[in-house]
This record gives sequence, C-alpha cells and structure tokens, in this order.
Amino acid sequence: MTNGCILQTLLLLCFSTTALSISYKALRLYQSSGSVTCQELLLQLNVRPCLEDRINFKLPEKIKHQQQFKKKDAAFLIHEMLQNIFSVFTNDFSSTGWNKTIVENLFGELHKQMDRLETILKEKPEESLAWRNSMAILHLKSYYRRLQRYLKDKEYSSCAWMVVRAEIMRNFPIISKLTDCFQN
Amino acid sequence: MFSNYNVSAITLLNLYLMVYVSVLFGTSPTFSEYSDESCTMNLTIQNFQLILSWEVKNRSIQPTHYTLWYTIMSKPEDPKIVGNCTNITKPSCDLTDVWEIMDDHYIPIVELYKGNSMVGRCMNSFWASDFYIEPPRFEIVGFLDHINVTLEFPSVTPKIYGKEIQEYASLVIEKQWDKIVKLNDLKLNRDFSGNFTYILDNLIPNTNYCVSVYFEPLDVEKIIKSPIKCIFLQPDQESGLSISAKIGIIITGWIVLFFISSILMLRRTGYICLKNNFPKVLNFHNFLASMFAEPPPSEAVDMLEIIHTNKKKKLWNYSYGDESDSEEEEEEVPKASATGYTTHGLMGKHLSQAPDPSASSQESQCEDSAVEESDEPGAELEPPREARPDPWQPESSRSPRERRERVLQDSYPRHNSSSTDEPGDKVIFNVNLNSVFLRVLDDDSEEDSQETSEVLPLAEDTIDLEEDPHRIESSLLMASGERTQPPHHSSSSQCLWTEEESSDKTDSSGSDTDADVGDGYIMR
Repeated sequence: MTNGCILQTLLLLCFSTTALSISYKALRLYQSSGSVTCQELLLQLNVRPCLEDRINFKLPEKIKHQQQFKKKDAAFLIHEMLQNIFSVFTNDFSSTGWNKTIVENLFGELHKQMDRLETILKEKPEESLAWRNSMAILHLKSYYRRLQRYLKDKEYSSCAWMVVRAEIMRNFPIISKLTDCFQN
Repeated sequence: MFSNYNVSAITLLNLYLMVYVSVLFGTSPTFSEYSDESCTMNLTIQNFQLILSWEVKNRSIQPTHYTLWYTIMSKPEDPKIVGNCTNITKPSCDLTDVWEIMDDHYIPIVELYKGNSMVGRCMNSFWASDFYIEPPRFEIVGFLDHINVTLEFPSVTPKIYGKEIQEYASLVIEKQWDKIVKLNDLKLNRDFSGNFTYILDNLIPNTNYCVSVYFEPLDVEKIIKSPIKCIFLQPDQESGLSISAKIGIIITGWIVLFFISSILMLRRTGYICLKNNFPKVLNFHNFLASMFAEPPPSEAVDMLEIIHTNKKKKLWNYSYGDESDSEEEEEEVPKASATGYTTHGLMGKHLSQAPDPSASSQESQCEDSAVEESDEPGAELEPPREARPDPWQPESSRSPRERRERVLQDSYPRHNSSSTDEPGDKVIFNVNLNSVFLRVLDDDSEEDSQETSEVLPLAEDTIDLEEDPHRIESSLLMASGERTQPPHHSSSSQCLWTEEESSDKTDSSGSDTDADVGDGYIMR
C-alpha cells in the first residue's frame, strides 16, 4: 500500500515535471513572440524626440544578469515587469497624440502574456508569496514607481511620454533574455 | 549726452552678456531651435558597416557641410560629436565603432552648414529595431535532395554584429515559397563572424528551388531581401567530391574484379598451383566419397595351423667348419640365420575355408609332373620356361594365391601322413603369405646351410634360373598375386614339396631337415 502511494507520487512528480518542462517550452515561444509584438506596437507610438526632460530611471542591474535565475524566478520577474508596464500605460497619454487602438492592442498583448505566466505561478502559491518580498521584486517596483512619479511630475507631457516610452522599450530586451531562462 | 552714454553702455553690456552666455553654452547646441523635420535619416548596416545617412527635405536649404552629433535617451548626457563626421561634405557617416550598444535609443543630431554658418539641424531617434540590415552574401550548392547555403561573413565583424543583434533581427534563409528558417531560432549561440553553412534538406530531386537570405528586424517594414538564387536539383546531381569518389570506387571495384578473375584463370590453367597444406583430417574433398567408399580389401589371410613337432633337426649354428656339430641333434630352437631372419620349423597346414576343387587337380598335376620327372630325368635340368604342361604356368586364370594354396596343399598330404604319427603341439595363427618368406630346406646339409642363407623373398619378381637349377628346385618361390607372375618352374621344382618329402624320408637317419614334413620355415 505504502509502496503504491510512493510509486504514484513519483509518477505524478515525473509527469508534472515533464508537463512543466513542456509548458515552459511553449511559454518561451509565446513569450518571445509576445515581446516582439509589444516592441512593434511601441515603435508605432512615435513621438517627436526631446532631450530636455531626460532622466536616468536606474533600471535594476540585478535583472540584467539573467544567468542567476531559475525558470520559476524568471517567470516571476517577467510577470512583475509586464504588470507594471501595463500599469504605466494606463495613465493619461492624451498629450502624445497616440492612436488609442495601438495602446489597446498593447494592453491585450500584455494581458495574454501575463495570463500564460500565471498558469505556472499558481502551482506553488507559497513561492509566489516569497518572491513578492524578494529584493529583486522590490527594486523593480521602485523602478516603475519612479516612472509613474516622473510622468506625474511632468504632467504627462509628450516629452515625458517620449522619455518613458524609450525607457519601457529598454525593458523588453531584458524580458527576452529572462525568457531564455525557460530553456534551462 | 549722459543718456546717450547710458544707452550705449547698456547695449554693450547686453551684448557682452549675450556673447558671454553664447560662449558659455555655445558648445551645446540648442536642439530645440530647429526641428527634425528638415531632413530624414536612415540607419543601415551595409557591408557590415553601420551607416547613417540623411537627406534634407527643405530644398531651399542646400548645405555644403555637415557635422554629426549624437546622444542617448537613457541618460541625460550631453551630445557627443562624431570625430570622423565633422565638417563632411557627403550626407552620411560611418558609426560602426561608435554605436555599440543595441538596447538603447540613439539620438543623432546633424548640423547643416552653408559655408561657415549653420543653416539648420536634423535630429532623430533610432532604436535597434530601426536599423536597416543588409543581408550577407551567400552561395548555394545543390545536391540530390538538399541544398547547402553558405553565408559569407567577415572574420572580424563590428560589435554591432554580436549576439545582441539576434535580439533585434533574425537572420532568415527563405526557400521560396514554403520554408523559412530563422537561424536565431536555432540558437546557434554565436555571432555572425566567419562563414556559416546551413543545409536545406528533405528536398525533392528534379525540382527547381530558389533561396533568399535577409535580416528580419522588429520593424518588418525595414527588411532588405537579398537577390534570389535558384538551382535545379537534378536526379544525378552530386557534388564534385562525391562524383570523383564514386568514380574512384567504381574503378577500384573493376580493378579488384579483374585481379581476382586473373588469379582464377591462372589457377585453372595450371600456372598457379596453390598447395593445400591442410592436414589430412581437414581434407574434405573426398569426404563424402570416403564415407561411402568400399571397405579396403581385406588382406589375403590364410589360415595356417602350425603343429610343432619335437624332431631333431639340424640347424645351422653359424659354424662353417664343423659339420659334425651341425649333424648333432639340436633342439628345435629357432635361431637367427646369417641373413638375420628368425627360422621356425613349421609344418604348414593350409586351412582355407572352402576346399579348393582345383587344388586336388593341381595336386594331381603336381604328382603327374613328378611322375613325368621320374620318367624324364632330364626334365629337371630343363629351364622352367620351356613349354610344358606346368601348373605353375602363368595362366591368367590362376592367381598367385591359388598357386600358394596348391603348393601348400601339395605338401600337406605328405605332411599329414607323417604328422599323424607325431601330432605335437598345435598353434593356429593367421599368416599373410604376402608378407612372409617360405622356404623349404633341402635334405643335403651343405646345401641346406647354403640354402638357409639363400632365401628367395616373396617380393622378388624374377629369379635367376640359370644359377642353380638344383637350388631352384629346392626352393620354393611364392609370388604375390599382385606382383609379377612367378617364374616358370618346372613341374619338378613346383612339386618340390613332394620330392623333398621323399628325400627327407631317405635322409631321416642323418638329415636334419624336415624334408619329410617339408622342413620349411617361415621367414620374414
């Protein structure tokens, strides 16, 4: 009886590991494709360049070193970044003259990516809670709060949006590199 | 007048302040004064060089010189001037070793000069995805069912061709119109330096295929496709190396075949004799034949019953000068003769299984010949080869075996007549008469002594009949059936047994021979 339970547990772990590996593989493909789509949409949000309101938002250096992260860690980080990007663009961008359809498409693409990541993150909620309090996540949250505060201080001017847009576009190469961790 | 001086002073002061401020901030152009609409800019990677080119939209402004500055958006840094693009006449600038970081916004600023005065500025922002990347040169080689696509990159490429470029642009090999291979997806984990070969496999022979290579940036509108190269895959189309290899294999095969056939031909004709040194047990050529071969003919074995008799016989004791000793009675002890043979006094009794009907006739013939001899005393001297009815004539119908039987039978009756008187011990053993010598000793002691040393072997094909007819008569030749015919004996000599028996009887007093019983001995 005990041996049967152990065997079933082992089989479940093996299959779950296999399922997870398969899902990470598919997730990597979807995530890579989604990152490219988001960058293309952001490029369509063209703004006249301005140099007066440039600021160094100090993107966390830790997330640039992707080799230290495991699959689950990378998934947490990507989800956090996508969620904050979504939050930034929900602010007033009327001064920019951007096409709202493009912004809505950007929202939809971000949402799809987050949904795929949440299917994996829900499996072990205790790890999600632990990650929410990690230093990497806290630094990311600070970074995106600076972006929000900058927009607010510049009164959501077009030049400020141009600066924020450029900064958000720097996030996606980092997301692409974190996505490569899924094949570890 | 004082007011005029005041106005002049204030004007000069303002002018000085303006000059001072201009000098102070003169190094940093005020980009806000001029809009970027005056010119369009293109950033292209061509021939592995990052080239920024621009074009002034406002044709009224026809600048003669250009100066290029640049900055980035992520940091509030002052624009930097590009050294090799200062006061240039052509509207393009090589930024290969200037812009190396891909994940940032670059802001190029072009100052337009006409003469020594600046007439305008152009400014733009370029993200990595905004690059136009020209495709590399490539070659295609067609095979039976696959195509080798070789991409030509320089051994040393700019930093912009590092691994990061793969984040923003995929290198695509397109087999029109159904298959697209993105090398970035292959995770080559290498930068584009040095030649690289990719194989388009699983193709259909006897089909035309066209291939194109290009970089696919994030902005798909900025794709630059290479010229299409087409090739027809013929069924027997192979690379030069494989054709030569096939030809070489075919030629080698023909040479080997010719060599083997030559050896076989020479062996058949006998020029080459290959010895088989296998042991006999491994020689299976006649294996089957040997399995069903007839059993070897059994040796002609004649059954002889040897009956020992205690008789005095004179044996030659190797003392040539002492005849008296030779006449002494001696035990019947076999002694070695001078010839080295062991002598036994034997009385032979032929124990052939089937009575030979011809034996009696032969016996009678012998007797007849003996009678004839008595009638014709000179017959003994006649050479045995004279034509006489001679049972020992080499008739084709009579084998040597039969002749032996006859001889033994001739002696037997006489022997029996005497042996019955003295039975003695019996020893029965099989004797191959082909391997023994039979000799009958004469009644004459001297002659016996000579005769003992003169043994005519059975193996001799011929005898010298001229030597001593008497000796011949006292000798008995036993020729093997496989050998030549026994020499022609006179009937008297052939019937030697009977004569000797009779002579033995007469010499019974002093004879040491067993002539009466055919004192012959089997010698070997």
